[in-house]
Formats: sequence, structure tokens, C-alpha cells
Amino acid sequence: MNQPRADSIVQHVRTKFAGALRGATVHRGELTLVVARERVLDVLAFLRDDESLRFDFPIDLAAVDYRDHPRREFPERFAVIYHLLSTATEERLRVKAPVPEDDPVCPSAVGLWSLANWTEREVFDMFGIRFDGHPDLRRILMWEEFEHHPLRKDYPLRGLGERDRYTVVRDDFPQAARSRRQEPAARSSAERGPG
Amino acid sequence: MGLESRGGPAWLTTRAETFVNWARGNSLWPMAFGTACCAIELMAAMVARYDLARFGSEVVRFSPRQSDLLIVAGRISAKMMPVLETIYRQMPEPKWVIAMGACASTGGEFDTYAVIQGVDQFIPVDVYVPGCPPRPEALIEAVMRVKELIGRERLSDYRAPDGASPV
Repeated sequence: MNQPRADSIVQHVRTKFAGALRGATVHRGELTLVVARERVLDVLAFLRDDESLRFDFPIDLAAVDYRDHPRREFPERFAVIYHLLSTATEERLRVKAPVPEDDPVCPSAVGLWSLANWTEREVFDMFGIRFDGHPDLRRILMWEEFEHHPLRKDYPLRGLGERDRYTVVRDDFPQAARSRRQEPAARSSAERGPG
Repeated sequence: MGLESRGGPAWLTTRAETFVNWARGNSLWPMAFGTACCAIELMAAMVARYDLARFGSEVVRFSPRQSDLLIVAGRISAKMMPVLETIYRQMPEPKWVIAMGACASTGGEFDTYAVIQGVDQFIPVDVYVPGCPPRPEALIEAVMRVKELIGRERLSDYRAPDGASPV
């Protein structure tokens, strides 16, 4: 996307959503819009349906934790990020919706694209951002009993012991207990030292 | 020399234990638990070029109730571990376990919150295969090691449900 085209898209969105558009950048030909989360569904619907834009295909929906980020564009800790593709013009567009840490809620885009269903579940699972209006907001990657949101920057890479807390199999089949075979020794990662 | 010289070539004598171990070691039915790239090498070990069938292990069973050798090929996440445990418990005794590759043995490079750091923490492992992934020759070597272990089995180590020894 060249600069004049990017400028015209930004202008087009700004005239429609004056207060909602918080910023726009072009980096290496990629246009990114920063939109207030309260209006993000309206902006996405406009980008999808406007005759000159037609960003109709949501390539991906993700999130970023900007905690300790050296060059933050906005004060909010999280941002939900929509990657859109126009099948009409083959242009791509990124939309960021900042989400604050003390109220991690974002409106659900499932009503616009049903493709958003599982990707929003993944964002919820990994970042703990809840999606208002999502029909089935459950964890999708981690198991149900998992208590944390592992892609948050304050969650340690090696976890909080979940991987060691699994119940050890007892070799207790009644028909043949092998006396010479030893029980597997439960050991924690801490004992094994850094991997 | 012994009885064989009198009976001719049609029969020979051995101990029941040796015979059972010989039969078991040459008819291992693997249960392939492939979760990652190691499973590709596992498949390569099964097909014509390496042909694990030469050693009696060609019947890959995807039913644990019909198998006696569990090959854990690939990383096991904490979410997958209950599945692996269920499959291990469904396998009838006697059974053996190969941890194939770095991930199944130690977690490998995936030292993260989601990956079990070695399945031997939770199920007993008989033979570990190093490599990332191991070549088919390494897996065949591991099956040979399992056969060695089977050769050292003692029937007296097994117990019937009432605690009685079968021999």
C-alpha cells in the first residue's frame, strides 16, 4: 500500500469516526489503525462494508501484552489486533484496539465474522481478555482447570509448576504387579536444574 | 549331546521362561503414540527401507488393548498427559515403554509451561532413544534393547490376582 492510498483510507475512516480513531501509522507499506475499543466493531463493520475499502476477510485476530514494552503507542497494557485482507483490492490492514489491564474486556467480532469465534477464544485463553457478546467463551488451548493466562508477560515461561503437578500413574493392575520394576520417581523441574 | 541328539531335528528342549521370552521378544506389537516429528521417523522405521517387521514388530496397533510396546514419539503437553496415561493403563501386562527422542525423554528444547519434562516422571520408561528426531536405526536399536530386557524377564516376578506365583 503506497502512502497516498494509506492517507486516503485514514482520511476516509477519520471523517466517519472522528473521535474513535486514536492513531494511524504506515510502516513498510503496512497501515495500522489504532481504534478505541468502544467503537472498534463499528470501524470493522465500516472497513468490511464500505465500497471503496472492502476489507472483508479477517486473516487473524490476536493480542499483544505491551507490559515493559520500550516504545508504547498507548497507555493501555493490552491490545486486540485484527488483521484484515480485502479480497477485492488485495490490500491488507491492521486494526489495534487497546484494552486496559484493570478492565480487560473487548467487544466480540463474532457478529461480524464467525471466524472470530475460535481466535477470540484463543486470545481469552492466552491473555485473559474477555470478549463481550461472545457465544462460547471457553479456553481453547489450555485445559479447563488451568488457572493463568500464559502469554501475559508476568507469567513465567516455565509456568508455575502445572507441568509437574500431574498425578503419577500407579502401576497397580491387579493381574500382574511387577515386583522388580520401580515406580517412576516424581521429580520437579527445580531439582533437575535449568533446562 | 543332550536330548536333541536323540530326538532328531524336529524338536528341542528349553525352559518355559526362555521360550516365553523368545516368543514375546519376537512378536512385539507396538502402540505408536506419535505427537510430533519423531512420529515421521517412526513411520520410516516401519516401512520398507528400514522394515522393523524383520524383527517381528510390524503390527502397529492403534488399540492399546492389543499392544505390548508403547512408543512415545514426540513432545507430550500437560493437556495430553491424561491421554497418554489412559493409553498406558489400557495396555495389558506385560508391557514396555520406549521414550523416543529428546522431547519424550526430557522435554527437549520445549522447556515451557505446557510441555511435560520427560514422560518418565509419570509412566515407567524402559528405553530412551536420544536424537531430535532419532533416525530409524536408533529406534530399531531401542527395540533390540527391549528384546534384551524381555530376555531377562523372570516369570516368578509376575503375580496372579490372588498373589500366587504363576510358576
